[in-house]
Amino acid sequence: MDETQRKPGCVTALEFRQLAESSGILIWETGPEGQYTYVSSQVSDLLGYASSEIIGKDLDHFLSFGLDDKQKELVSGKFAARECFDKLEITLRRKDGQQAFLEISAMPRLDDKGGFCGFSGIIKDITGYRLAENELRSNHEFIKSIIQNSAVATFVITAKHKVIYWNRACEELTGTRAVDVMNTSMHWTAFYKSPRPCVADIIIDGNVGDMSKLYPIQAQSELIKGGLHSEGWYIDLGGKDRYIIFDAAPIYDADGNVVAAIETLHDISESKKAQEELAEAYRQLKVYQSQLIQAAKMDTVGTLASGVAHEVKNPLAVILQGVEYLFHNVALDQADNRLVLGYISEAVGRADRIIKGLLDFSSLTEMRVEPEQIDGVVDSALLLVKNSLDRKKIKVFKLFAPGLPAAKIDRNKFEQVLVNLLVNAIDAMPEHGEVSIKAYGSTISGANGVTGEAGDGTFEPGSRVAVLEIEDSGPGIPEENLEKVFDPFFTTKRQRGGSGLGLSIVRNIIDMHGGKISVDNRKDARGVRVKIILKT
Amino acid sequence: MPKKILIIDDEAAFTYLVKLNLEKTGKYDVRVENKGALGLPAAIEFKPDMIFLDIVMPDMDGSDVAMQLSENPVTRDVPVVFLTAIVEKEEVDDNDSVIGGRKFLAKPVKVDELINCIEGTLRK
Repeated sequence: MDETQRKPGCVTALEFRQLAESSGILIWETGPEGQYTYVSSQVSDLLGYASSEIIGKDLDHFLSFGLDDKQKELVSGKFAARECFDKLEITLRRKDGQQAFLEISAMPRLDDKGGFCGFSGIIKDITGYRLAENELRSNHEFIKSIIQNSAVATFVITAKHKVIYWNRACEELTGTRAVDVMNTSMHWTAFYKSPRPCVADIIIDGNVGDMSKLYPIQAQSELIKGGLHSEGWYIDLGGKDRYIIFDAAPIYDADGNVVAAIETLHDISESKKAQEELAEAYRQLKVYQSQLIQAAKMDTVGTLASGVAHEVKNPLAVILQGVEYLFHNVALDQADNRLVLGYISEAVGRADRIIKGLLDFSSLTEMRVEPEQIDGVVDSALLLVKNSLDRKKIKVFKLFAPGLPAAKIDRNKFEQVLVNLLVNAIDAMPEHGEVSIKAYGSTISGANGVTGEAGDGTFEPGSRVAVLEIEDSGPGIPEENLEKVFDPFFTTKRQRGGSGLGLSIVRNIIDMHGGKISVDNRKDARGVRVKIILKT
Repeated sequence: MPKKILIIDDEAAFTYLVKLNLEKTGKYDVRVENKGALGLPAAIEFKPDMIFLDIVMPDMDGSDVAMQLSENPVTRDVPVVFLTAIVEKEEVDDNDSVIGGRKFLAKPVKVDELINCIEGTLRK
């Protein structure tokens, strides 16, 4: 039967073609021999060939341009077996040379007696979709390539903390391979021994407050809103100790949601070391400068003191003799006379002690520093104040840590320090008071995350020191006086003849040792705690 | 018989008061010399049992006077105690009053200290 003749309830081939032309669907047909018998005008438009250039050509004439061998075999097989094929994706070259991406489906067409009439098929133009997809893939590859080839160690995590980028520089710097962390949340293993959020994780979680808890040095980015910065020493990172600067920033989707975070790592160990060395050199310079100034001051005070001492002591000697003479030659039954002479005598004693203090200052310039065991010096000092301790029935507790390092001290000067401090403690306490003397080795905190004694710039970070603590059970020092205790001539014992030079001398001696002294009220009980840190 | 004490010191007020204080006890006869250079003649003439000698004096240093005294047969056996402001009491006390083989007293000094020193020295 002629295909163009209508059967009841069916459309004729002609009607189908008219329908196809008006629908915009790309349709083609072949005859039983496999030559094109019809292509809708859209097919001509898509391929750039006129219908007349297609009609009569073999079925695979155009298809063959874009099929690989496997596809060709498939199509040939389908055609030979007169079977359907669905959504076969092919690439064709248009008449103008442009590529077209097509999706072809076909089915055999039978007459009402089941005779094979040829193939009918449709073509879907997926060029735009495929080009966009290719561009997207290409963009993705480009971005991946940028990150992968960047000389800056970089990694990216998703909103679920999964690593999606871990570039070569990051592998090199951390010593952690991408394959070990990609698509996992194990990126912390590169930096820490136990699970702990990286800066990028903090950005994902929005817990900026965690930064200060986790990273001592941290800041918000000045360049990127929501970006965070931290830095610090990391031990054995990628085979060596490194000072790393971490900068992380959020990555948003089109709706402004954080979908990922990118973190970069800069190894500035060398410049940090240089910076720290410079700072140390500067600190040393300041120490030397202050020691020079101190030495010059001492020299001046010393010269002045030794000169003044002799000249003042002679008149004091006269006054004392005069007072003693008057004690025996004035009417001492008058209470005032006795009182006045007593005052004068006391004043002579006080002036004499001040001169002694000044002379102690003057002797500070001569230091003979040698490694000494502090416990031995403590025992010598305790012997010197034994009478005073016994008189007030004061108990002394000593606690010297095993392996106490030898401190670099001038034994005599340091003994003077201890005696001054012990005398202060004894004076401050009532009878049956307690003095505790503790000595131990420690390390100055600072570089490489070492924690220990706060050096405050007096010591090189990480250096070993000897620490001595002397605690008494006295009433403590009023807060307002704590800052003044080292001031020359500051004393709370003026009425008892204190010169106010004791702690001042102590501090000068400790300074001359390049050490550190602090005086505080005890936190655990009533009383004063003096802490001395010495070089070893 | 009072002990004869010679004080050689340029500080006249000091020597005057020491003389008064010591003689008031009735146990001492004190002579004062305020010029270092006249120390030796004064000692030869006075023949003291003991001498207190200042060190820093304008005309002659006490150590030179001590040298003269030790070289003179009349005075060389007279004990000399340096009474001076150039040493500290602690130094003197720590060393049992003897520094470099010489006996010292540090100014300012009390009368009791002077008396103890005289008695201690003369006992030996």
